[in-house]
Amino acid sequence: MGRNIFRRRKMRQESTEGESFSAELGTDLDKNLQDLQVMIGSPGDLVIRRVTLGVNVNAAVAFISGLSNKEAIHNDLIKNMQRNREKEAGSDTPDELLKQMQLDLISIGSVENTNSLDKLTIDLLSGKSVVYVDGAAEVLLLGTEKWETRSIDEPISESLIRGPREGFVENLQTNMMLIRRHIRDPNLRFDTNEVGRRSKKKLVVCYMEGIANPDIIKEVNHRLSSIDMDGAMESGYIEQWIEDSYLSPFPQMDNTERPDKVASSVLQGKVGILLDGSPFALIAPITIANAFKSPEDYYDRWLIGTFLRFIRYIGAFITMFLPALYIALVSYHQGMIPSQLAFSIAATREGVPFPAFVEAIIMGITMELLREAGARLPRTIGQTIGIVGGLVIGEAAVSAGIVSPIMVIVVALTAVASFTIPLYSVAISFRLLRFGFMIAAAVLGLYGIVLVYIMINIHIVNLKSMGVPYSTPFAPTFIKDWKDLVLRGPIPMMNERPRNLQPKDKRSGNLRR
Amino acid sequence: MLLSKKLNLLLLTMSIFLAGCWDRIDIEERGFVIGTALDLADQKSNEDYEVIMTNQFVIPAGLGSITEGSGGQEAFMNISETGTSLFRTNRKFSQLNSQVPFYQHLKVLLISDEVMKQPNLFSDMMDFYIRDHAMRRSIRLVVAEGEARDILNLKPKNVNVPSMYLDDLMENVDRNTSTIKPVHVGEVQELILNEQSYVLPIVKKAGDQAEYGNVVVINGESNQMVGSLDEEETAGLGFVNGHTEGGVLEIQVDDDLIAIEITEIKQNMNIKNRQKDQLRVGISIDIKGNIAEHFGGRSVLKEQYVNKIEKSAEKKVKELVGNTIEEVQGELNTDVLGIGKTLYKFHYDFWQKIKNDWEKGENYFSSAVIDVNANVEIDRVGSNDRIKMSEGG
Repeated sequence: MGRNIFRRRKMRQESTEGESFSAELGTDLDKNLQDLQVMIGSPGDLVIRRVTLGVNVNAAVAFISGLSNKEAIHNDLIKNMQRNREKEAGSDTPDELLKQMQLDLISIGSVENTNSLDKLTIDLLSGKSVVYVDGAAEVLLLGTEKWETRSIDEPISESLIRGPREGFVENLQTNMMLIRRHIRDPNLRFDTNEVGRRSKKKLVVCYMEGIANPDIIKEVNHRLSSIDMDGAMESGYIEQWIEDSYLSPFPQMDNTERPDKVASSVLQGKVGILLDGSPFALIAPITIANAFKSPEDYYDRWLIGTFLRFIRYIGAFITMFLPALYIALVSYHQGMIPSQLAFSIAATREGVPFPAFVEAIIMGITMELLREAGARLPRTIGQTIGIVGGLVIGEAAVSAGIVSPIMVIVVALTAVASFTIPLYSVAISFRLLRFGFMIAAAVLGLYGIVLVYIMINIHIVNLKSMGVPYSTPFAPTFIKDWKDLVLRGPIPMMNERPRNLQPKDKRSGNLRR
Repeated sequence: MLLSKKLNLLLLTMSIFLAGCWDRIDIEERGFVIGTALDLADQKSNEDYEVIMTNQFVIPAGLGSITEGSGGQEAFMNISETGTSLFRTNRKFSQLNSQVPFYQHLKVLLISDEVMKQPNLFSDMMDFYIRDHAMRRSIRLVVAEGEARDILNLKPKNVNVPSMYLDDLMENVDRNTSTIKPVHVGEVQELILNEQSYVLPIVKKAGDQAEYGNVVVINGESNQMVGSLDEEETAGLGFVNGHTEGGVLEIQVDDDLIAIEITEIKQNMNIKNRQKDQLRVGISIDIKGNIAEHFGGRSVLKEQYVNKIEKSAEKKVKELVGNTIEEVQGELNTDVLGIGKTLYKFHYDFWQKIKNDWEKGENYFSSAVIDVNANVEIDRVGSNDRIKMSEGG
């Protein structure tokens, strides 16, 4: 089904091609400026500065005030234009004048020529300034982009105890710089695309030439080229457009604010996708094992890293199974609980008006409400909500006899366990699947849990991320990759790149053990 | 394919959800039976008995929690029902108790000696406990001296529920030579199917407490109790067939009392000849132990003295085992020593010839000559040599 829709998207895209118009510039300055104003609707932040060059040649500089470096325009452009009238007078034709200005007068790094009104407008709107000369068929586009940006901060969603403190910002150039600082290799590629019919945002595909499998790069580029939408506000738009299955509860791409994570993934042979205006980079392809990996695993010694991973796997299983197990055991398989525990559960459930399933659903939803409320509110109030919700509501619900104390333990443990999973999007889908397990447990007991677990496993082995099976290296099995799976092997031993990505260059080091 | 794929899928899904939740009984609606006692009510005719089944239900609220305590509520409730078939009797409990009897946490099954004394009644009653799907094979089976249901009413001060108390009591088998390993229902099935005689542990009332120890001897053919062994005889039996795990051996050496803590018992039985009427059986028992208590002032570090202690202990073991053999060969005429089993394992043809005359008819078992050979080894002598000096030093 998913494939059909994919095909339909492509067809629609083909039918709309050829609609973009390209208006040519004229030679008349006033007409050209008027065209520009008509084109973009003469907004308040459009600045047009008229200058006289050489022997009475009219010229103009246009730029968007918020997006351009005004200092550079004043000092390196307009000042130079006004002070060198003798030199300017040497040129005979306006085109020659333009050429001379480009070579002699303008001391700004990036200068381009164009005669397309279309390109001019887009470049103007992305911060370049335009130099018009009356009578010339072309204009100069100067790279004067500069706007207010957030400074590089510690990534809020992925803070580590040990590791670099810098995170991506909204500026694409800065983000590329952050990655380059980790990898100074000529083979590091940043392929630039444009995305969005209206937003025309820059999107960069980042990979290592000679390491990443060309098929993966081809697949990524193919899918990116199919994107057809008005605007991509966040890299999430891109992720959802190019993912393999939109019906799956599991994310098929990693998103991160950490340049070090992108850099290490790129070195393994993965592909990073950066979108201008979004501090979240995408990494593809990923496998289910990525949900349990955190950059910190590698920064601490291997024993610690391995232990942390074990904890996360346990956490994932608790998140998904604990409430369901509670329901199954309490409603169906009382014989499987150790006697003393069975009696104490029976004692605490005495007087609870709801069956275990309803009890679990009530508490599960309460927990999700609290989490969502805490995420929506400002951080200071959010913490208060957590305390009020967790302690007061839990305690009150127990003493009011609505839920049993054991249920509170189950829910609290589930919540805590779900927060151990480093990939936020996976943690949420695990918590979602938990409700499926709970329903199955309520209907069929342990048998139901087993059935749903089998269904999820079947789904996982069917799922692919950029054509790479989601369940590797478990199945298809790559034993050599297992040293960086549940176990995090010592760094000197990890001298091979993950085989499941089929990198062109298999070894990352020559030390053999 | 009359139905379309989608309809099929819909029907399949609906069948799960519409029929769902069968067998769902929440934990608080279960009546946890933790102990059961079986007493004889009445013998209607020759092979037709009425049995009183007493179930001990746990009252979870009465168990109390660590912080709250039970608040004076009783933690258990005994309900008795009379009937001929146990399954129907068990169903009758639902007429009395609001909670459905739930047997998966059943720990102990007490059977009164009156029941055991009837031929075939015990094995017939075991069928319910083996056949029913809710029954665990780990239920511990014990014979009660006197009325079994009285023991379910005992109130020891430290444990709230008598059955749990009994269950814990049966854990302490390696402390005394007269306690044997508890027998599980699963093993009972084996014993009954083997048609060889066996022993079951006894529990009896002792004031507010129960006392676990000694055994009853059951004839393998009729599954009927033929007698019981006292403390010393049980110890002797334990040495021979390995029912005992440990215990204390009290011996006298030159008027000094010595207690040996047994740490390991190994036994070996071999058949020395194949004469039907005068079978020779050799039993060798290896015991390892520590000196746990020593009266008198002699040094236990002297090898000669230790050898002497070992010799006395061997004598004591032989004496105990001898008594047991005398009792089971003479009065009871029941092979609980496991000779029949050894013959079955290692001399099968010979066993086929004599098995019908083993405990009856020609009584080959009684006429067997049993040689006992004991070997005691003292491993450790404890933390000190002696507590006082004596002239013998």
